Amino acid sequence: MEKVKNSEFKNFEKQFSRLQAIVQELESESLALEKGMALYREGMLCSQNCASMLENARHQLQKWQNGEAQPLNVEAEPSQDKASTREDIPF
Amino acid sequence: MQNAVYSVSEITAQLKQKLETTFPLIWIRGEVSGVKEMNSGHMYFTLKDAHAQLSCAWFAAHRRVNYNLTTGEVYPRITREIMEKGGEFICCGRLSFYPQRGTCQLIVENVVCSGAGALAQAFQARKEELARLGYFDAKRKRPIPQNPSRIALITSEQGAAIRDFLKIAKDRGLSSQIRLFPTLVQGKEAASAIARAIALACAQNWAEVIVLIRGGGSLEDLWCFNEQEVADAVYHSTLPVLAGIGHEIDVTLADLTCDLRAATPTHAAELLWQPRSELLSNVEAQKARLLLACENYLSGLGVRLKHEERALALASPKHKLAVFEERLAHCRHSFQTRWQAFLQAKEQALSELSRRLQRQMTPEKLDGTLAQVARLSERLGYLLQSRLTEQTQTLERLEETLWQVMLRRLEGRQAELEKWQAQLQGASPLVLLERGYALVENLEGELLRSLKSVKAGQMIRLRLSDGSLLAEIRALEGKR
Repeated sequence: MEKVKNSEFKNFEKQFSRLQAIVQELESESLALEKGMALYREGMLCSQNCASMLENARHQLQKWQNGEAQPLNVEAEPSQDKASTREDIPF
Repeated sequence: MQNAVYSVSEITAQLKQKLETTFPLIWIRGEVSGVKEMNSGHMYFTLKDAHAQLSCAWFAAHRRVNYNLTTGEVYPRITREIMEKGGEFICCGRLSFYPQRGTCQLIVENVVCSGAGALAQAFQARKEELARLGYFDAKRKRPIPQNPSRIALITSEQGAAIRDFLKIAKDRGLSSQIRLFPTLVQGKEAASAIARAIALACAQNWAEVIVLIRGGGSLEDLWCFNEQEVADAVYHSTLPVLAGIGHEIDVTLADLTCDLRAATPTHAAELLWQPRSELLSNVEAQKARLLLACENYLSGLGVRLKHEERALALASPKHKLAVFEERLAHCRHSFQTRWQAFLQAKEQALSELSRRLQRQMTPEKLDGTLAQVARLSERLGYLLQSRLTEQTQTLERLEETLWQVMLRRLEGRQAELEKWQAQLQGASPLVLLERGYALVENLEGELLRSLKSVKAGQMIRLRLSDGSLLAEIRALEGKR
């Protein structure tokens, strides 16, 4: 069985949940200035991370053949230019 | 009441209206016969079963559209040759009444093969068998993970299915890994190839979900998905299986056995991942909320700062001193006012008393009072003296009387005593003894009163006035 890196969606969810928690904390509690600012910075960082994860999201394609994972190229539109040979198709 | 009489036009018009509103769009299954194709492209045929038949008109405009107008689903084109082969078809259209001929007609919009032949019967039989074995039980359906990051995709490397699937996947979810297990999806070898691919994906246990897809096709094209081998592989899969095979109307045994059925490969991708734009707008919304919260938080802090400044000013020693000074001044003023009022009241009371004293105590009044006191004192002395004398005299009188009475009584008692003494003396036995009598008694001291109590020779005692003597009885001499 193959060792798999942590799911990107789980990272996203973690960051997003943290963002929600920070917003709630800032909305509901009276915090010290330093704590409030630290939370704001953390919240902005979470939001940037989430946005960046979404922006850079690419599905990775592979095919299992002859007992190993191999790169796979599938054209989204059959009529499109066949020059695209990138391993990570921006799906 | 007389029944209404319709004209033919009236009743056929009403029939037409009723028919077209009651059946706006219907699907009818039946066998096709009498197919006629005109040069214009219109086609006329009859749809029938064992007991009835219905005329159908399929106009060229409708024949050119071989896809579902609402779902966009593409159907295989049905030609005159296919229809002339006979068999069952499903016709979609509107019922209409043609008043000029007084006939009812189906205006056909679409025709698909019903495929109810040997394959359909085999399908039905196997479906019933698998249902009996519990392959389709809702209870054994597992949830499909949302936004999975590792997907085992089982389909053909070529073909519309994988393209449709990836096209939709492009804008959905985050970076996932999609591992294709290429397989045949049509033909005799397909079923075992698909079953092997499923088994392989399960054995690797790498993916979170298996996605089994295939593009649209005829019943024969899709037949491999109805094979027992594929149904078994799906049934025994250790990973949850999402299947999207053919079009919306195609239902294979693999579809029925899997954990979740998607209508099409496109739909399968939609079921797996959330649109990225949706996720992004969620993030943007949270970011906007964060900015607003921060703004509110800062303005709240500003308000608090002002409040604290005011509180600080109020709590400063200078302010406290001022407050104490004010309180002191107030106390001083209050004390002075009250002290003045107190003094004034006392002065008033004093002067009032003084006035009253002056009114009451004139020299004349004082002299009169003194004289009265002297008079009363004198009267008192006199009264006391006279009363004392009177009482002394009375006492003396009473003393005298008492003395007299006592003396008299004493004398009376003396005389009485003497009388009784004389009497007593006379009565004494000793007096009798002095006169010469004697008392005779035995030696025990008992007085002898009869001869019976003595006998001769007995010693007796004789008591005389100045002593006693012992004597012996010589003889007893009774009375004669």
